[in-house]
Amino acid sequence: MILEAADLIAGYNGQPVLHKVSLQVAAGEVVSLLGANGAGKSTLLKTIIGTVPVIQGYIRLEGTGISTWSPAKRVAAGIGLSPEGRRIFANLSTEENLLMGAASLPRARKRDGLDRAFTLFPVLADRTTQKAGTLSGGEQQMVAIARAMMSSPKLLLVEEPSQGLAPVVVDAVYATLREIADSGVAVLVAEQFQQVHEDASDRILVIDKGTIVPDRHRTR
Amino acid sequence: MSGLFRAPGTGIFEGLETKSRPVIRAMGSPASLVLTGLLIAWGLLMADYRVFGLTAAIPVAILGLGLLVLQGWAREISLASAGVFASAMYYFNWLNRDDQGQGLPWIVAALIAIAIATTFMAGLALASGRLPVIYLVILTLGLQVTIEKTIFPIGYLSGGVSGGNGGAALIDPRPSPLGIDLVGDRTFYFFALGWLAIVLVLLIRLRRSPAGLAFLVMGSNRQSAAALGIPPVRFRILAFTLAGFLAGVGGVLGSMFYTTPPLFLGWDVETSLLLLSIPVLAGVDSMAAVIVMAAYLYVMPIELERWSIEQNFIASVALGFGALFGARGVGGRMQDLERRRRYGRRRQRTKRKRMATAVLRESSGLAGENTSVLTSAERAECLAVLERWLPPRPEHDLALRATDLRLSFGPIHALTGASVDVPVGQMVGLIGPNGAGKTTLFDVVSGFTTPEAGTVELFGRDVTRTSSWNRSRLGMTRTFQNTRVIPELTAGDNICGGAWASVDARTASFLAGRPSAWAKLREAEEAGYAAARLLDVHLYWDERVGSLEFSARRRIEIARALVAGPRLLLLDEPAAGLDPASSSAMFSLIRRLHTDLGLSVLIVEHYVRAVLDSCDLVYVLAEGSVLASGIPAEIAANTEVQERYLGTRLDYLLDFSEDPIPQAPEAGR
Amino acid sequence: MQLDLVPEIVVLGLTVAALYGMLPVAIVLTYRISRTIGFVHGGIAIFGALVYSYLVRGPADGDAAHFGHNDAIIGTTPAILIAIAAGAAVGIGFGALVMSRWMAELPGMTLTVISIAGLLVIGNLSGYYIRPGGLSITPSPFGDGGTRIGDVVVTNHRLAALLILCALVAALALFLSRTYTGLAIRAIADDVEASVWCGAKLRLIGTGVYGASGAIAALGGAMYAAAVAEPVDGILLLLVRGMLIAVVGGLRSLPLALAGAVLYGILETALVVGFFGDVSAGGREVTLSCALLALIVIAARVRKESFFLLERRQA
Repeated sequence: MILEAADLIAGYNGQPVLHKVSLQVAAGEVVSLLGANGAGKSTLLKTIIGTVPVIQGYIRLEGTGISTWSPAKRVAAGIGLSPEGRRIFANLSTEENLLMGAASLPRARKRDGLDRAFTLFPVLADRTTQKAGTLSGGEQQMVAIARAMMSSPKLLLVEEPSQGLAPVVVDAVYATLREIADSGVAVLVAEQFQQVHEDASDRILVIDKGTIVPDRHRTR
Repeated sequence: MSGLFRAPGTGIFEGLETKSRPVIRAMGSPASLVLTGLLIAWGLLMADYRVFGLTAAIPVAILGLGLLVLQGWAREISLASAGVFASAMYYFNWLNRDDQGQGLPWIVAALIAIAIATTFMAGLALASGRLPVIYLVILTLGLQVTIEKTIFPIGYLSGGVSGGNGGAALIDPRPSPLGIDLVGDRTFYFFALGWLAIVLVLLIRLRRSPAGLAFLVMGSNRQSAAALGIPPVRFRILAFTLAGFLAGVGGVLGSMFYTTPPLFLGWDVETSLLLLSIPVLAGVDSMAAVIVMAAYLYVMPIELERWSIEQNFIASVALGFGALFGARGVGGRMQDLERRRRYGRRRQRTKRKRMATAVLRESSGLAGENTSVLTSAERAECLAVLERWLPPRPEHDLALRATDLRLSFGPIHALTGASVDVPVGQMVGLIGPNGAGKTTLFDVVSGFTTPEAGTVELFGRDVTRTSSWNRSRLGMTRTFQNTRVIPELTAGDNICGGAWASVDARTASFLAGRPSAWAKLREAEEAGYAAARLLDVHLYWDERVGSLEFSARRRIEIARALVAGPRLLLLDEPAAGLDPASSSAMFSLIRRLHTDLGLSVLIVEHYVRAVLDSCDLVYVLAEGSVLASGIPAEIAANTEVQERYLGTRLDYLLDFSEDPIPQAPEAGR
Repeated sequence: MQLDLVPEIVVLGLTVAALYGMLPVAIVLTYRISRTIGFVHGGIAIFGALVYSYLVRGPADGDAAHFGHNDAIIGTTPAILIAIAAGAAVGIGFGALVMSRWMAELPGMTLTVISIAGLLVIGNLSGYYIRPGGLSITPSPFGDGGTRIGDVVVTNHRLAALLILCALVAALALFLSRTYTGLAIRAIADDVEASVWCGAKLRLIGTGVYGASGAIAALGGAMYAAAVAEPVDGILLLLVRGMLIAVVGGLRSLPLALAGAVLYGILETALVVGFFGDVSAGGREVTLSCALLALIVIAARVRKESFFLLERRQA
């Protein structure tokens, strides 16, 4: 198992938003996490990356407990997040955006991921010096995913990749996610109900009011 | 409407307490009674030096109330308050003084001094126009320094650096208005309390009037204010004007009190910064807390003198500490306690009641089991109240016609010739990916962005160059994707916040306390309450919106939009963030409002299925122009739309959910 | 207007700009990292000025023996280095406070108010406890000689201030564009949360930036103290001017802030030397304020900033 979380209680200011969430994601798997706004999917992803504190329970990355680590340490250990709304750095160039994805790596390894990013998304190779804010929506989504891949993570968290994209582009994004998973990465995708992309995921988990709804698990 | 004569709490308005007598209402709370009692007892019982100390606080309290309007209500900041206050003080002294002054009657001198203070603040606001708040922080600081460099050194005003005024003192004996001898400090204390009381009465009336709520809406979010017909720039200027006016009033009172105005060194930049602690600690909406803070700043140093603790130190610590309370401040916490005392039990009962259940029950014929669901008679009555409130139904055929809109942001072409018509009385859906320009189209239609080419017509009138608030007055209101209600206020205040443009009474009549004006407001309240009942949020009327769940906030925003008096309602993703059951409940709710009130509706929504199910007409936007339009069946069958947008995932909802999805009868087409 | 005064005005104006330019640099740096206006730098500048003056003038202990001459504790060069280090330490302390986990989530306006509180507390405490004695003039670390430029004699102190400021801005520009830390600072300025998700060490970098700007603020305060007689009252005005200047660059651009400082310095000098005729001190202030206001409004127009646009970015 790449990611294991058990009986996870987490939230802001000691107020739990997640109530006893347990989930596992294995290498090579694309798992979809469905839920409405406020159901807790975003909180779950932020708990895994480390910006929401764990109150109780544990998160393990390849068997190592990471619940008390800082986000920077978790990124360095192999977690990448492509956040909701893409959140690229609009005033930085594409290349600088990608390099930020390697912010927690040692200096020597910072540029290693660039080649892989341009293999995954060849379009970006032509846009290295363009300001990321002027890229199209689809290209910005590519930058967001490529940025999360820069630290060669073992676990890729993707939040609402289809938001605001034409379905044709969404299909391409999911195809890339599958490609990434096939290279041995565990992929966890959070999506709105309206945007579910069932064919592209191996498993679907439904989260509601901060817990995983058990009888709604689905496997392909 | 016979609103004033109807006993509150009967019929469909059960639970709606009138706000028509705001001063009596505000004074009725235990906190106000205790504070009033304390202020009077202090003047009667305390030692002279303590009475003197508290009297010095009253002009500052009036200044602080101005800061409350500016910083609490309108969310602007002024760092020039000390300078403006001191200017009024010095000018009054000079204009009123017989010895080397102008010797004007005190009332004339007071009016001129107040006018000067008001002009400073209003002028700055006029000059800065639409600049972001953070700039105003620094510009007001610039005003403070300019005052320090220009007015403070003038000898005949402040005594100047070296005693000025040709060596004579700046003594201006206290006037005796209406023959009252104010020489005694204790008499002057009650005289000053009288001023404070008058200011409070006027401010409480203003706060409760539609204009007061408009300030708060504007402060909370400029765009939603504009969408509700509240001109944000005008209200920003008004807030600065009012703050300047109250600083002037406080300054004049201070000048009378001190007879020799205090040294200008005490009114420098640092004092302005320290005075910030008053609105910061008081929070957005508590006048009592402002008075307490001002008293604290002036009385505590006297009490703590033996430990040689300075006023500056007290205020700096209070400032840092107070900032941690957030926008509600300490005053907000106090109001919460009061609210809990009044409405405690109801709050327990309604907590966590979910919208979906109510609507589901209604559609399954279980309406009778939950008291919050309307009977058909109540529903009809609510609709009748709203129908009277809304402007007359338009004669024109088209509610909205947007023709060939074009707009680009740098290299990105957001709109490339989009045309959308909304026929009167129809519900029109707009779908398409975000990059397609839906949001931009909405912004252009509601007036936040000007198109490079193309026209927007509202009920047959060209409004392409009309500001968003004036468009709203022509009968169009919109809601926002990230629901923009004011978390610090109650649902009732939020909903009535939409009423500013539609209440047919002048703010001056509210300030004068004319019953006819308050009757008009009662009409707005009733319309708001009726809308709240239709949207099933009336049980939250007296609860802070910040503590409510997401879908309730969104319905409160829709109720607020209804109170603004629309005949065309623009809804930006009303189902975003709701689970499938709540989404379809939300759509059937909108559908019913649309049919019952004859509203024209334009909806932007990602939730394609709901749009196809409940709209009369659907537009599909792609790459900035209309890809297809027609009735839902045509759109669903359109192969190009399927390929480029819908894909094959249209029927996920039925496929996925194990619960049957309820459909309101008129929604199934 | 006397055109023959122009060279003199430009040279003197530049040196005035050097004194006004330090605080804006500190303000812009911390604004980029935390989206709040660094009022606290005014407090640190007062602190720096007092520490430097104390070290080179000795304590005010009321002993008549000290009156009329300085009783320097250490030389001017180590003194200014100590002042800078002390400013950096205070900056790091304040930075660690506002970048801490529970404060970082407060809204920008609240943090601005906390910054104002920081200014007042630091300023008041240092004014209360650090009381330099000796002569009322603080000696400059660059001696009291002067250099002739064209027809104008400029004190070495002001010339050094100008050179330091230019070097500082150039070095910072290089640092921001060429290093990974600089990249992270620019990314944080764009989107704080996203940079944390990318693994940027926000608290470390943020505290570091506060430390660096604290050092710059203390240097600015010390240089100002050595140029004028009564530094403490003047520094609040220096801060206000610095903020107006920083706003010219939208609080984000160092070069524009530098340009604002130069314009301001030249305009002030022109008014002082009587380029526009005889203007009273009050009239000078009004002219300067109006000119800056106009500049700010125009700059905001050019950037198309209005309160609507700013809101959208937050949403």
